Amino acid sequence: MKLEKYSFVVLSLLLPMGFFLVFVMSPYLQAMYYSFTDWQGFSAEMNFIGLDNYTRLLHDERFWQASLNNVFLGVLSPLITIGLALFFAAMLNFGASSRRLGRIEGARGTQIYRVIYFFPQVLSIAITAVLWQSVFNPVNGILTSVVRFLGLPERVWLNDPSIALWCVLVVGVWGGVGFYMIILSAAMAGVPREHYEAALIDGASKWSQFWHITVPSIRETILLCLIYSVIGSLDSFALVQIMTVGPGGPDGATTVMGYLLYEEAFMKSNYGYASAIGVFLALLSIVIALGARFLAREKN
Amino acid sequence: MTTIDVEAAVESTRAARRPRRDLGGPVGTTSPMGRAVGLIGTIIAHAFLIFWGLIVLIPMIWAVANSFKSDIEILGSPWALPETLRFDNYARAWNTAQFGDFFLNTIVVTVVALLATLFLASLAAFTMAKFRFPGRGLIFGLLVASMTFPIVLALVPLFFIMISMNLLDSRLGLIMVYIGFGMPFSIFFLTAFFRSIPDEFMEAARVDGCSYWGCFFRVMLPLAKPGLISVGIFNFMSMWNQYILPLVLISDKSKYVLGLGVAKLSVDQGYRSDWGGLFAGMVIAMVPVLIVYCLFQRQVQSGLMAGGVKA
Repeated sequence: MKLEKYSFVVLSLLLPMGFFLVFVMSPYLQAMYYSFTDWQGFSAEMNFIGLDNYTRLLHDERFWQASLNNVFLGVLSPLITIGLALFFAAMLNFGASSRRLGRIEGARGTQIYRVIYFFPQVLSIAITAVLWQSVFNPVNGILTSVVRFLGLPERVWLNDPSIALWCVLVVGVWGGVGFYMIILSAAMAGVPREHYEAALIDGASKWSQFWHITVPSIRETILLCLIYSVIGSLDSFALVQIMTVGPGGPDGATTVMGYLLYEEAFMKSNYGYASAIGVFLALLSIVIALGARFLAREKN
Repeated sequence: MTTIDVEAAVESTRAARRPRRDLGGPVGTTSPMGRAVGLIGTIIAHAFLIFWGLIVLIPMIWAVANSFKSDIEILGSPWALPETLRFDNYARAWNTAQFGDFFLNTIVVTVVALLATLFLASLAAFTMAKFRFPGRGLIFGLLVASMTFPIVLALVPLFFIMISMNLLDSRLGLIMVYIGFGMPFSIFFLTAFFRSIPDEFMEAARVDGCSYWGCFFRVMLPLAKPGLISVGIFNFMSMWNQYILPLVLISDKSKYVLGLGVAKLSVDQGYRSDWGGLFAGMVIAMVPVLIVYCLFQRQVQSGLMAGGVKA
């Protein structure tokens, strides 16, 4: 009886955990080890050099620039994305479905928004990047013709170091709003009706209902969305690698840590140094995730 | 997906078809004046919503329109509709730019990896949900930890693991890596799903002399179908759209997947421009996953929604 149970447990976990350990967990652990070595590829020797890669990071100007760009994207992208998602979720729940109070699904005319808003999330990040690269194209992109039509000064978008990173930001926001809008609007619809009825007696406007009842009630969901969004925008690798000139340019204006890692590893064969960048990025993600969880618990 | 409450997601997947009249929303006034204000509010709300809908759709529609245009039209009149529907762009993308190969590669890799992931993850999830054994907590811990790490961190060691296993630049290798990366989320979601199936089903089967394997295949797996559909769709979308892993693990052009193919083609634009072909390639990559999403958007959304509500 016991034997049958344990042989089943072991056999059933063998392959799933095998794939997971070999292709996911062991690379992560090995990367941590590589980050303490000077490894440069197949035949070259691998020496343990302690924290040298990390001290080198601190003196690497490109790494600092990449970090700054990461911070720029990691702060602005979540704020704008979640801000817009919250706004459209509110429009959907307050305005567009006023007749059928709070029905999450099937409310006529609102389901179509949910479906369309989610489209960018369904596209491969590679397709999104190439699509927007064409949108930003100064010769035949639609953005240039919009700017021309409005009589605004023409720009070279991704070729202009002062706005290239903003372009990356815009694409990230475009891709993310729908995903968070769906989560937030579901959370909004889940706020119990009684909360609003008290406010109605006091004659509170929809606007103040939104700020004083809806937002505080879904605070945790908002926080969760912010965490996802920060971690997601820390990894803007594909957008930068495909879309920007250089890539990472012009003049390093759009370099992010993920791209730096890729370049150090697969173009310069600095595998040890690249791994140190990766470990730094992972630590940053973990700190943000834990920090936000801590914040969420504090407030409860 | 680490902090999403999977049990709630599962519950909502099941409840997706039930209407939810009991849930609240902001309450409007019922006076005639209030109703008029409400109507104006509704119009303004729709105006904003349509505005963002256009921002989402216009680049995509533009890409579809361009995929039927000649290069001269694309360069000269970006907003005009195609003069004639030039399917030769698609023919060129499919044959000359090898999108036919990329399409086939993507289908093979995605379908095989998806089926294997679903089977293996549901097997592991069944065990995690219905048995107590030493090491169970550790397995959960590892799965959670792996979901907080960025994929780029794994790239360097993964590259060398694939070389040492002779799996670099092979579709089979890519499939195996997809299966590995599909495990954490799938096992998580399905474990919660199996937990929600009462133990009595399994106990009854055991009394009838069913082995654990029999319990899994004949009793639990059929019951888990709704969960498998949800997990399957999420995995399908992420596997079909994968870019970083094939970028590092595949270099032979005949083995590219669609995302990689589009990205490389766009880089090549600098040398010999074929805009129509590029847009046709994009559309070829976009359409299948959009169709799958539209067919299953209910399951996709209910999965996401529950995550948010109970978070």
